[in-house]
Amino acid sequence: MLARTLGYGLNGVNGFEVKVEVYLSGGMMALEVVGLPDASVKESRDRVRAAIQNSGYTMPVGRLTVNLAPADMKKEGPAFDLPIALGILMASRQLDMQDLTRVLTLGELSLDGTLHPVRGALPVVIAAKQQGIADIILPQENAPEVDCIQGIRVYPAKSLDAVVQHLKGRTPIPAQEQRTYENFLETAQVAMDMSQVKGQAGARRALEVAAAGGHNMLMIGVPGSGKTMLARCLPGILPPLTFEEALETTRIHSISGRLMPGSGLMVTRPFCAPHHSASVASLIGGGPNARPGGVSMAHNGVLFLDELPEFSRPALEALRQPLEDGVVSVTRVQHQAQYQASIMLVASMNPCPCGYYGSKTKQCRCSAHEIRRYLDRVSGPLLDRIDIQIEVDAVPVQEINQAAPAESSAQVRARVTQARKRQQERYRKDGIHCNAQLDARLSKKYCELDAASAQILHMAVERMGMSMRAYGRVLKVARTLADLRGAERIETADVAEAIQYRSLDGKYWR
Amino acid sequence: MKPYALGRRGEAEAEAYLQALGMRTLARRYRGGDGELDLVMEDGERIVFVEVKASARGEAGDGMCRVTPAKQKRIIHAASAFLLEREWMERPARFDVVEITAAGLRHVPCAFEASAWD
Repeated sequence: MLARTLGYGLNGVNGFEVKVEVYLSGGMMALEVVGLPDASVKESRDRVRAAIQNSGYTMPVGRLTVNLAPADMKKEGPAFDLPIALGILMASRQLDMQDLTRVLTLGELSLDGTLHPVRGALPVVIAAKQQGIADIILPQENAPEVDCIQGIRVYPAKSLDAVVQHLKGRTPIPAQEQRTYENFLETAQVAMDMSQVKGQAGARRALEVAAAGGHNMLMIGVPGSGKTMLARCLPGILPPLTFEEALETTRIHSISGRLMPGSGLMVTRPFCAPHHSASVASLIGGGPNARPGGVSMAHNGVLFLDELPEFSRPALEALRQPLEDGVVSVTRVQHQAQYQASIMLVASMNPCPCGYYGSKTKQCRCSAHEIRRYLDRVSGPLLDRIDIQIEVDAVPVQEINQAAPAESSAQVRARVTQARKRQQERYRKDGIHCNAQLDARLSKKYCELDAASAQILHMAVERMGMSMRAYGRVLKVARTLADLRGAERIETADVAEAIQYRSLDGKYWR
Repeated sequence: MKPYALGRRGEAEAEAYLQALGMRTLARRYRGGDGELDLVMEDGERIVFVEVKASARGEAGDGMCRVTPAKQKRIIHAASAFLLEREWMERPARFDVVEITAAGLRHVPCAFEASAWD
């Protein structure tokens, strides 16, 4: 007796179809799984056997061969428990069907037959939908994760028996109501609001500019000046994720197994703050299964590197490529995967080892040589990719106690969103979507200066010894400043402000 | 009682029990393929290979514990030889254990399987 069911495997962020064939023949009682299963799939034998018996069914006597096709792709994870168990029940006529390949079934079985949630349900369901599969049975804890996909019927199941009763038509499981993206946006919440930041007018402004143009940002300041707090505000002032962006981000989190159980689509931009001891593999992605790293977890959001010079040099240098391309390829012997990594990089650091170089309140104890060495841990090529650099000084006590409430994130976000809209409109034909992505050719086209502005910029270049690359950065930031004003033309004031965001070049890295 | 006699008596007891369940005896103390089968029964279409573990003392479960993986392997080899000899390779077959201890007789159907060891 041969039965067929349908499961899905994961390869990077993409799901692939796995036909599960179960053949019950005569011979000595046995259950064998073939088709390149890894250890966790082989273990499903024992779970499936117990689950079938504890759900009131019997293991058939005879030889059971389970084949996972295509046989040349490595299958991992316990998500094949459910299709295997159903296949066994079908092959032994306890469930009167032979072909269940139009219904995707996913789920890990517990020994008592209840279904446990699996990793990567979202990418699997997306792939299945693309292949034309419209009916999906999965563990009920995974159901909220996929309720954002339209055009499919999702049946959240509690146990193996519930699935069998559903398939027999005795107690059909009602299909879950799929939600539209607008429903989700209402649930968005942000960790830190701008209204909680006291003082720091300059830094607030820089943050807004960075958000408006998608510029990477570096904050240098004494300990306790609020750099981390400022960075945490950033996801809240960025425009809300679009549906496509939310899907991309959620599927990366889904396959890394870091989605909270029961949580649906991620609508808040991710904020990823790895500790400075992070290895290359943890930042970029890696491990034997080529799992995504920090840059991909922060996809469409913010990667915050606190204490930038403390990160290992190889880890920082490895960031250069994803910063440029917005995507990383992780290659290991067994696996190869490509993960999106379109991020805003926000870094913070102290100006010197003791932390007080340039402080107005405390004396720095470091020698010139020590400071030099500390700053040099951050390489030039990385700094080159950071458009906005600002100094953050400690807030005076009087300002902290001042009662005047600061502007909230929502107010700032409204302006940022407007500026982003202008950019998307302008670059629609150029294949980019924000000012930070302008290359030399495009910035010549879109960042035209009038005579007075050009003169200011030339003066700055001469006085501050600015490099040509820095010159290009200033133009881009000036473009963003004009967009924030809602103006098409860049004015002298924009250029002057943009120059300020490069002034640290001259002060620290000469 | 001597162990040998105890074993023989246990096997007879087990056979009577299984026959009462409706099984038919195909072979007793079958030897082949480097192993031995205490009882080979027929349960409808199915072949049932039975390992009998009898002891004068002991609690429930003691007999089961004595059917170690190594012992199971020998039983599986003997069972293959039996099925080959009769040209019954296509008939569904299972492995049962019957233990007889101070706590009484216990029959464990499908006690183990012939899956590859890994």
